[in-house]
Amino acid sequence: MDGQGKDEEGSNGAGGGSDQLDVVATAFVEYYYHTFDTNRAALAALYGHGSMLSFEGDRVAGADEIGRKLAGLPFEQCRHVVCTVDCQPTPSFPGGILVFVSGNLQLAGEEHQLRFSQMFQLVPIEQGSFYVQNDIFRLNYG
Amino acid sequence: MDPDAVAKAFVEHYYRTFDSNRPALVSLYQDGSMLTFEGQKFLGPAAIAGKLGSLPFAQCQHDIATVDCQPSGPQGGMLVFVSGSLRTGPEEHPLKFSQMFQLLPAGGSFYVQNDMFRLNYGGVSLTNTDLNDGAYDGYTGDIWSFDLSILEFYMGRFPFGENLGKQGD
Repeated sequence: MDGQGKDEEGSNGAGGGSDQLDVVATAFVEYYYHTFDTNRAALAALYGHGSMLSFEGDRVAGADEIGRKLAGLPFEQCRHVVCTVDCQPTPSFPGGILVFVSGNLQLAGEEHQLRFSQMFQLVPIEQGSFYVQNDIFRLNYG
Repeated sequence: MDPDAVAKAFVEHYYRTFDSNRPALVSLYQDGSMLTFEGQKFLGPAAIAGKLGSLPFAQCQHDIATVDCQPSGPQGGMLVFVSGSLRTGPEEHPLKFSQMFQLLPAGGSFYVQNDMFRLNYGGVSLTNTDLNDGAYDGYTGDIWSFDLSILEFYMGRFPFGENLGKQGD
């Protein structure tokens, strides 16, 4: 199995652009989970008026509701360890990025880590930063 | 049109097609469509269908556990997030996976603009029956054979040499 994913027809096509996207996506993911794990209240600032979160099937909309949902999750301390980050450009917003993450979630006091997957649609705002337009989170039970 | 119903219908159609008529998946993608499959990137229907057609199993069965969807923006697109398991044969261990799609409307239907697939699994573990005085540890053996399935999924063949001796050398 070739490791580079660059087939004869339709090789990744985005070239250097796709590496840039990877850099941006990885930086966002690191910031997001670091904020989640150390200062969860600050996450609300990443969402906008029209943002949506689905957390284990519960849907909420808008930065305020999303902030409340995240603050109200039934654990105090947690640590996310990211295993994979994949990203692609999205035509839904100019400069928008879809980010697909998998990793482990360690809850304080729990012996076993939980496995999770999460996807984001990021939309650029000024000065190279992004807000989260869409966020879907699922635990992956083994 | 209820977005949840659209997402559910799409997911059923996608995996039924994958499991029963994999070449037909090509019609779900358009020229700018992108697939990232276990970190490998593919652009356009031919490359995508080529990748899906070359996966190292002739048969598979997807079992879907969860489907989440959200509208993706002013173009009327939809984000669909799936988790489930995948079996590559009746005797094989199911492999857990997650997959996300962005569907965009075209001609009264939807096509897949973005597709990202990842297996969900823990670390690879090794067994050495020398440590057990040759006794077979069934639990560890199950983990080992499961991990071999994952390696085989990646590599397109059994991971180790054809002429293995009893000690794996």
